[in-house]
Amino acid sequence: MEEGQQVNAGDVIGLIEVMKQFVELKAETTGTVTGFSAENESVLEAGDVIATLEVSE
Amino acid sequence: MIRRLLIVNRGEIALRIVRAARELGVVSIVAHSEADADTLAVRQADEAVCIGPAQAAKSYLNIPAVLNAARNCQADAVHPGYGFLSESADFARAVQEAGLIFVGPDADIIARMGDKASARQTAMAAGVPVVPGSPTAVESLDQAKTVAEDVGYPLLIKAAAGGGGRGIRVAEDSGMLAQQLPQAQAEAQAAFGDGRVYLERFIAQARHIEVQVLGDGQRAVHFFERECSLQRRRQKIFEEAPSPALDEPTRQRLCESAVALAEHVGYRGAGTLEYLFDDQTGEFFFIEMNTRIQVEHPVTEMVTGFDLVRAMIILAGGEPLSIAQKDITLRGWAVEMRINAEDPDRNFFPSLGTVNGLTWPTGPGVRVDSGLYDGYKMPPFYDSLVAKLIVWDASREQALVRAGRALDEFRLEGFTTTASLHRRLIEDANVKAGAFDTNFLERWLESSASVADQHKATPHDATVKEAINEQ
Repeated sequence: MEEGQQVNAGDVIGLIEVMKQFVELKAETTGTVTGFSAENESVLEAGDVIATLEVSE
Repeated sequence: MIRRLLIVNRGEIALRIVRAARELGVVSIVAHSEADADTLAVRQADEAVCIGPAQAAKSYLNIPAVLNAARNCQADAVHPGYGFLSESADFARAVQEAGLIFVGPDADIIARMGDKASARQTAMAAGVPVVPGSPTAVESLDQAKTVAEDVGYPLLIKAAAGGGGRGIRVAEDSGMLAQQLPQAQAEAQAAFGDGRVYLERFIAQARHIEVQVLGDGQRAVHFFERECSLQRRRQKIFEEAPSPALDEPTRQRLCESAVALAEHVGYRGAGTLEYLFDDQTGEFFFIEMNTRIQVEHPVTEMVTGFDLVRAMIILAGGEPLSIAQKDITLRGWAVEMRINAEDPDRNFFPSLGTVNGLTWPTGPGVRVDSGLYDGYKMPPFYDSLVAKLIVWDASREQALVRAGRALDEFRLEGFTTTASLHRRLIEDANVKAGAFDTNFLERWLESSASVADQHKATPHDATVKEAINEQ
């Protein structure tokens, strides 16, 4: 997954590891990924922004 | 004799080992990650030492960091607990080479019993039954048919280079074998670059039964068996001792085979031999050995009255076994319910949070092994097991009733756990009858999805209980 990439609603855009389980992070809507705010393999808190999506009209 | 014990683990098992050390007059030192500085094990231990960042690879699995900590705090022994480095032959060897005692068997025994093929060979050499199959890879259909006559149908055709459930086909009869064998060989060649396949009996309905042993390098004793068939995704959820499936002669043969294998390899410390048990035929087959203390060891302690963690520290200190087999008897029944921080009504989604209100069940026959305390914030980096609720009573029936009473007393605010799953599970007619195999729990979870839906729609406990009772 790279910045500027097109995604459809339901596409997996990342994996979040919680207590040794990998949870799929899915795009809620169709659009373009304009940026990632979280580094790969970094620690997240609930509520953190991971990626920004520009919604397709 | 051990004086200063470094405990390289976390959670409930680190606390369990701290307690055993305290009772033995051994100084306990908990090696912990940066994320675990506030755990109950660290608080209860005599000393604590940080070995690295939160990620296990940089702390609990970091052999140089552990050895460095052991030197700095002048430990003379290292206890690995379960998981992490507990079955790493490299770690055991490194500990021994550093002049310290590894609380467990020698590195070469860990390596020998940890490899499935060599464990199978060792079991056969000790006269312990293994799952019947072809001794080596089968070359031709004629050879396969000869093996099949010995082993019986249905058969599994397994790729020698496969693993984790991949590269397996089932043959119900000789016609299917003739059809499947060339396909399996071609598939194995394509998938693994190795076309060798071997045959193994397919046991459709198996129980997972395991035997606890202690050895001093010469002599070994068993502490009877545990029944661990209730599993989800190969993870045990609910265990009990003894097994409701065994009659006395079978129990005796099973446990004696475990002692024979432990003595055959000169086993030292606590170990568990895992078997498949075929309900239909009453046969048991050795599958593997765990060369460490196990999560579910408390049920064995409850029905035999022995402290296994204390015993393994004493044995590691070089003492011989102080008990004979006849000193170990079964009394009553014990069950263990694993309380995981997962939501059973949302497909076991991890449930994180801070403990904000905690009431443990107490009273007769109840034991809780847990690192939780009020105000504890769970880190997201490790296993979801947060507590083990262990219940003993005079009979299996009474133990299940008492388990229900204990679960009803248990209150935890802050995140969701699998406690509600256990409350439903112990009311199931098959569970009450002890009638299950290793696939039972996953089937049950699918069929009981409706109960979970009602739970969401009606948050009142009384209503939910009625709904469950009607099932």
